[in-house]
Amino acid sequence: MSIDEAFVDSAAPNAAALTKARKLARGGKLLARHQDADGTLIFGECAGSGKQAYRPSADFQDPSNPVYRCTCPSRQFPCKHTLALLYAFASGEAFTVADVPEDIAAKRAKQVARAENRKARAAKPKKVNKRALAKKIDAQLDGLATLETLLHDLMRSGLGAITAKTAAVLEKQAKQLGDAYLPGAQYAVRQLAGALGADENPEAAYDHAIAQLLRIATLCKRGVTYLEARKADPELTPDTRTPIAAWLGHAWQLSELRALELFEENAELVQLYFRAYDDLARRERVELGVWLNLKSGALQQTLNYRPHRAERFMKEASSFHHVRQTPCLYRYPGETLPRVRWDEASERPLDPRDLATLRSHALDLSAAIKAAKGRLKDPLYETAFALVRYDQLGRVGDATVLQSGDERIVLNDDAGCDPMETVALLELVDGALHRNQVALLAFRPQAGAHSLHAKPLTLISEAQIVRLAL
Amino acid sequence: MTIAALRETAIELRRLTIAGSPLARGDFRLKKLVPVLQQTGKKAAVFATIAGALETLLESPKAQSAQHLLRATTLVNAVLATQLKHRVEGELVPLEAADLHLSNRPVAAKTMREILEALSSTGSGRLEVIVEGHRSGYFRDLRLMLPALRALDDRYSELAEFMEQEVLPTYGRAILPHLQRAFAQEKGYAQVRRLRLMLRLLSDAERRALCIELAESDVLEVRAAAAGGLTGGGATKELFVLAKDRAHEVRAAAYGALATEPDALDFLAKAIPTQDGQLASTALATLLAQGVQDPVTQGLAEQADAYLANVLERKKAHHLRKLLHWLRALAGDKRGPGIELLLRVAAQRAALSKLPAAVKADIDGRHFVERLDELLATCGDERATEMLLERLNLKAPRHAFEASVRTRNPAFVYDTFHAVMARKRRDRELLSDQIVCGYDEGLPPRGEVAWDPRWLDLAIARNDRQLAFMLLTASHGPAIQYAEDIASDPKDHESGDALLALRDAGYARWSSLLDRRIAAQRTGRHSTKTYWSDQRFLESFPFDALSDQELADAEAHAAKMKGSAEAQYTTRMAEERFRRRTSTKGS
Repeated sequence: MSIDEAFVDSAAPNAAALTKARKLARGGKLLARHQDADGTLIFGECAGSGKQAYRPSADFQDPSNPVYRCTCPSRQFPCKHTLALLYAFASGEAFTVADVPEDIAAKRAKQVARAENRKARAAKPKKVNKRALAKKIDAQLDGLATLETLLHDLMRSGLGAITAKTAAVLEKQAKQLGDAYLPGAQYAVRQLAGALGADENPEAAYDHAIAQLLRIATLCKRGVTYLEARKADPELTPDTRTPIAAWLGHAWQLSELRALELFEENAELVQLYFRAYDDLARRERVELGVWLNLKSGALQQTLNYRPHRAERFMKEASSFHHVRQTPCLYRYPGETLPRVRWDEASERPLDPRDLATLRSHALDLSAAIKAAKGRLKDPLYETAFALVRYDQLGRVGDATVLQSGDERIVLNDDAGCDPMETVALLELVDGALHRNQVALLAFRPQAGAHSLHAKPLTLISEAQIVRLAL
Repeated sequence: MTIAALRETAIELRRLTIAGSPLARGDFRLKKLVPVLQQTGKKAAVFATIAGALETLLESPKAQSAQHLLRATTLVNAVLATQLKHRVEGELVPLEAADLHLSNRPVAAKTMREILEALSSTGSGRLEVIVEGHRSGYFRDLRLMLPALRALDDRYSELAEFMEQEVLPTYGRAILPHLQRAFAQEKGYAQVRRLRLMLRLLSDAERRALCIELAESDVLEVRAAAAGGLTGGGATKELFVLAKDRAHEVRAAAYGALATEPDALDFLAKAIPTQDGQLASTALATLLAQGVQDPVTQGLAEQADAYLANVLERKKAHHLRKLLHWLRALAGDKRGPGIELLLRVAAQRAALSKLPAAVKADIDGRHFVERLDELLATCGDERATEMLLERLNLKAPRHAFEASVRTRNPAFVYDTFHAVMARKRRDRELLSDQIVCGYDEGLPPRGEVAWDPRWLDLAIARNDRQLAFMLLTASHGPAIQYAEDIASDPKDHESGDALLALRDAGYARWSSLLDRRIAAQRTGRHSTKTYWSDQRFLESFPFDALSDQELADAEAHAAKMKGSAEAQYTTRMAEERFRRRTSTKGS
């Protein structure tokens, strides 16, 4: 197992735990540091507030699914004591070889049994209650019909006539959509309410609200088409070509994706971009990762949602700087930037061959722009991502420009989904990154200017990946 | 033309969405656009589709207007999305590369975000996060650079100053363009921080050019910073102007800068009788200390003599301050004329000490001679020492003692002054403190003074711990035993000081004493007094002087302890260990 600081960072449930763990490790609170003979278990003792020292351990018996244990009462896993132990290991502290403690040996046996049970359960075909599903589809269709009525009412009254009362109506409607098994539509309505109530320039607020109205209209139209087609199918098969089911709010189970053959074996992914933000409409903390699949060259995304109410009890996703290896990569329906998930995964260090593979999957700027325009004409999307190779970064007047062959695009911080200023950082990176490299770009139309700009998120050279955003 | 019509259509549809879809029926402005789109529709079917959608909208009754308006808007926006402009014409100028050599060490986003939030939010605990981030090297990550620069504006001044003094200088000259841009746009104290940082990063010539430019700034702090930056020659003219500024801060900075300018000698001499006499005398003393030809100093001494004569002849106390400025200025010259002047003035001590305070003067003769004695004590001239010893009073031996330490042998100093140690506690402590601390300007730095060994015997006999610790040598058996007894007693609030003294004396067994002390601390009960002594001990303890083995041994003891004071031992030692590992990796 290769445990370095980056591994410990990514294993931590949140930044606070990491800071506390670092203090514990530096403060000499680790009273004992051991590992077992085959190097799959590290364990020790860590002084805490109680009389007895806590006994944290990190078990790598199954490297793709490490188990963190501790005798402290914390509900976070790994807790700060386990992280301190990992941190000490990563820092090269001396760990003496010792026998596996009895309690951990017993837990290991139980863990193996649990894993086998889980596999057996996963192998069993899942029964679908078709009658209940049909009933659910009817409820969803009713919900969409109500949403359409609300949408038309809004269009008839006009955005200029919207009052505080409208926001209350929208919130009520959003609640009903949740009851109608349409959390995706509920989210879209809350976003509309947010756009209408935004305390910003009224013209910009109108633009956001109109974009949101078109999004809801498209969602209603495609949702109704999809649900009616599914209802008409005796097997009630979901759509696997488009992401409409997820847009409506369907939470795909891994077993469903496996049954629909939406998976890839022995996949390797490299994360190129990570962003964590609070989505007020969803009332959740969202952690987005954009990855490149080394085998297929496709850009794929991971999304980790943590409801605000339960945020601190759920593991926080973080940036990842190694190569993620998974025996089975599950892919959500959709062609462009599909969401991916995995059940078990391991990692290996990134090497220059991976960087060469990454770079080989980059597109020409013209092809990337064409694909971005194709995606952005769909009202359901507001940003497009592409891995692009470029000849030069430079300036034309005041604008920072990326040039690839005869094609150019203006780089603009407003063009992406990320609030970090990344364009200014281009002047601060190593000069070798200004020519003949590859960049992950986010494309977004500039409101009112009828132009398409891009925001640089990551630069990839033959030697390194330089992230410009968090 | 068609795209223009399409954009116009989008604007009209937006207007109708805001006004309400029923108004679309028969809308004149929208109707005007239909023929244009129909015409283009003959070549591209999508335009015909849009024209059809508009016609339907124009004819739609109120009930259906909403869905038709949505359809038309969706269509038009989709086509416009495919027609977005992205090209930019003109000559492409390559970006300039910054010579930053930042780290590309992977840092977890959650760690970076915590620092980023500390840099850009408000509230308590932010500085700790930033200090920790700086110590861990996270500011070498490119992404924190711009937020770090913006933090110069932070309302929490300690944080902004930490960024200015510790974090931002590590980026070097690469941040200069950012500082210059922000400096030009902003006002207030953040601007001064930027200026100070720029002055630190610019080359000498650039720094001087910028300071000359800013010497006329309206902002007092900017003028002061600019004045302070005009060192290194070539800007004396500007400094002369700034030395007459209406603000004292600016004048002080200007005089500080003039202290490095040999050309400023006359200017400073002329300024001594003015309101800025003190600033000028300090600057002049610094300048003279750098070495100036005797004739120049002679000329200055003659001017001072004229003041002395004036004071004695007219018995005007208000000239005493100016005379004192002259003496302080010439004290920088340790060779001829400065010393001679001092001795000439000292010879008139009796007459000068009787001068009463004038109405406007803030010193009288008595205060003047006190300052005079200070100068005599530090000038290092045997004649001055003789003068002070002639008037030796064991109740107030300070200046004579200082002068003797500088000019006489250790045995003489002991024989003359040891009797002070038998006097009242106040007198005794005064002398003891002078030897121990060496902070007094009167004494040379610690390492440069040799002390008679009898002082150590006397200190132990009188149980003057601070004096004994300061003079402790490894070869003095009774003194070592004395310090060891104190160091071994964890209840003694000076045990930490004793341990440090043993270490400084090169006592071989001191690390085992440290272990014993830590072990005793583990089992002992701690009073508040002991706790504070631990704090002081920790603050002054040179953990970096421990060998790796000593550090590991001491840490092994400390790690078994409980309690807040002990936790600090372990923290400090572990920090030191981490620091060593990091510096080893770095090298």
